[in-house]
Amino acid sequence: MDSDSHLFLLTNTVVRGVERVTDADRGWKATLLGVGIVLAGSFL
Amino acid sequence: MTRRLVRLIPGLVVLTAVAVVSRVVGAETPLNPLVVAIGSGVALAATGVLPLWTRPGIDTHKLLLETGIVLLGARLSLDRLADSGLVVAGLVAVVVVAGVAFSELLGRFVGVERETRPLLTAGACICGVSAVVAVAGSIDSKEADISYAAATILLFDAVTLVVVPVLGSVVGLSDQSFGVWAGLIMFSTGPTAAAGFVVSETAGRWATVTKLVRNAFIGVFAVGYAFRYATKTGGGDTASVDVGELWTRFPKFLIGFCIVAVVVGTGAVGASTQATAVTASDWLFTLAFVGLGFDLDLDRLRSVGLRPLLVVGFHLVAVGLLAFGLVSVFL
Repeated sequence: MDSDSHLFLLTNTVVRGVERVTDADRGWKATLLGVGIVLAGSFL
Repeated sequence: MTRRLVRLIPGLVVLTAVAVVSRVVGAETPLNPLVVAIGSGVALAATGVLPLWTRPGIDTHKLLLETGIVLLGARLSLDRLADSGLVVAGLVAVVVVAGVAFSELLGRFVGVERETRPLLTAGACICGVSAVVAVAGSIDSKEADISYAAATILLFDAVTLVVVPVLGSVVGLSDQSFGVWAGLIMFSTGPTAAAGFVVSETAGRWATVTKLVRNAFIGVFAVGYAFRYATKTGGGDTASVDVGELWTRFPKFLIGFCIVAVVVGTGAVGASTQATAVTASDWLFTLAFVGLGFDLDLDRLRSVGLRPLLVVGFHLVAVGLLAFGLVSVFL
């Protein structure tokens, strides 16, 4: 698989992931957002 | 999906603008910024100056509150929780069981309909409107009963949001004890957290943690009621225990709260990450409380009847006194 295919696959996965999260239960969204903020804070 | 997210922007801008103003007012005057945030939300909703297209963004305030609670896990001292956690869990169990018994008996005595009683009891004893809906699902309640019970609980949310912090400054409890007391007696999670943080940071943390422990009772409560109604109606045709439905109603942000508490509490991330999480939590609470003010729709609350009002009012006084006694003795 070339780099373009990798990029397409990655983008597709991220878009599908975001779509699933926006349709998910509010409590899960809050969990993902909260844990995401902590993880982002530890990388910055 | 992009269009859905774009629709949220105007309301989020409104929440952010009011939150910034509230915090500036809180910093420059003796007024509490959270009280300013809630009051501004109530005032804006009452005047009706905001266009309808700001509503989707404003309606995200529950998500913002729950995310703030998840991040509140970063402020939790695991040592402190280990010291007082079991006592708090015990107090919650005692207050919930006593509250359920009192509310059911009083409801029967006053003549509240059999179908409405468990909904009022769930809302008052566990976690407000979401508990009303969870129990309604497990005992197959009518729409009218649900909205009646929900309106009663929302009315008391509005009243206790003002009265409980005032009482807290009068009764002379420590910040931790006040927080636990508020967490034991108030109904919905948002107003409980708000009432705690209005008094102090410590009170807010304990009010929220205690309320989260109470929220965790929702599954046990709904299953108990479903079994009880199935037995009473003979054969279980009108009530069922749907595990999937219970899981749907379970407050999942509790899981996020525990993850963040463990990740931060065990030192898996640094102090600067903890500070970032705490700052984010503060801002999310301010944004959420502006939205909470928008939801305190006084017109909608006029539909509440006298009997449910009596039951929930007396329940609040009785449970408030019991919880006050327990907190004074054990904390």
